[in-house]
Amino acid sequence: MLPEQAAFLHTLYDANFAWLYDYAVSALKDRAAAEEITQDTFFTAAQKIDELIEHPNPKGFLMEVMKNKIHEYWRQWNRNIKWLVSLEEGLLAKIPGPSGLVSFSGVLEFARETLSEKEWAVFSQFFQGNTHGEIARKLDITVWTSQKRLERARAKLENALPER
Amino acid sequence: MPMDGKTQACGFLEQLSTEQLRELLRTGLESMEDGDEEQTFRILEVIEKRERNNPSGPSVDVGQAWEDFQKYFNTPDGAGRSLYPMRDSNLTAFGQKQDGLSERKQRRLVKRLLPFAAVVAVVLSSMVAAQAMGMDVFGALARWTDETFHFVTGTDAAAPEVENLRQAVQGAFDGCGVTIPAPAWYPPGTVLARDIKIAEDSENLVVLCEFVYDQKTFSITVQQYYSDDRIPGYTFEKDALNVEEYPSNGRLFYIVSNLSESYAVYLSEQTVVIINGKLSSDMLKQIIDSIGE
Repeated sequence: MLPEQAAFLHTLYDANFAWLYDYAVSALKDRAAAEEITQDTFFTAAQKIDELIEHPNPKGFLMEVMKNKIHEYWRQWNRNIKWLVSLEEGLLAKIPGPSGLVSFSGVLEFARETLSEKEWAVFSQFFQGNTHGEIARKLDITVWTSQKRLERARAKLENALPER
Repeated sequence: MPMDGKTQACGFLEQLSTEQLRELLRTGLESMEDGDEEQTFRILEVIEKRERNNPSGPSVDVGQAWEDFQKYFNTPDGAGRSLYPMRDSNLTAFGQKQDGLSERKQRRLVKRLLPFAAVVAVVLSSMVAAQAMGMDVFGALARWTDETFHFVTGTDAAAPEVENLRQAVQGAFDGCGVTIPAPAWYPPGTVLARDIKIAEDSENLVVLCEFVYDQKTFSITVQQYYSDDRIPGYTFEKDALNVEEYPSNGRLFYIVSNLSESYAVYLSEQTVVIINGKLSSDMLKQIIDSIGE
């Protein structure tokens, strides 16, 4: 990024972060998720900085980007819930519990045995409800490293599941 | 002195609680319709002002957020990535205003806000004796096309589509504890423009029903206060518009019409009902008359 582009981005960030974050909090009722979506909005802006510098309405641009990302958040949320349910169902045959039922801890135990240490570190944090931003701070990695490790973890667990 | 549209709009927003304002933002997002950008920014301005004066939670540290952004997000390994990828890739079109769209957004702002402007224009006392109602018509109204008023032949109130509307509105009212019945008459061809919206906080509940017929829109709004000392009282200067008192089924409505818009307001101790939109005076009265006792 050129120095003038970096300066523009910083100015844009300072002027707009607070209201964008507030908008996300209103939509999601979750401050951690709101912060993450706001940061991702500015990251998208950073990747489009050469166009954004010439844009007639950068504030409107940021709002539209955020709205799209909030919708994607809701879609991911629904997908995650469905995935979690299918995961538990798929593991019934593999990890019978004392009463024949699978407990959630049994699911995590299976994941712990299947994943690498780094994949498990991200996966377990994610299932405790942490965002990629929070995971990044805890493990001192970038959000993109967190995202990639979670993607690999999911792919491994999907491959390890019996066919449904 | 008549207020300009923006001042009036902000005045109306300031009467809503922070939770109601946040609910409006959420509803706007969930509806997935084209956003009303100016209204959204006004709502955010009101919330920000309140948070500055009376924070409800920890304030955001923009400086720290920027440091976190640079350390955890704005890094080379994120090139081409996104935590929440967007489906619309035409990013540079985002936020671009077009003349027609700006006018449509302004109409939607006026349509949504004027019912409440009518409410706050009424002086209330414990005896609910409204003395005057006047409003400063938004400049946008002057650009709207004139309507040709005509008598409306009676629509069979028992027709299935009308009954479905009545039931939809009644269902929303019943679910919210609104005691006034839903209207049983609507202009021919009326359908709900979108899902009925409900916003609630510790002092009141708002039900907003938006309709469309023959490419014209109108709305029915009910504000149900939990206590009769919570209804706000405001006055606006009365202008040249005639205010008609219209009694019907034991209720007294106040009707104001201008070139293309009509407003009807009814007040009880804890309930405010506003019917407004592109309705002729006769249509408005038919809707009012169809509200049962």
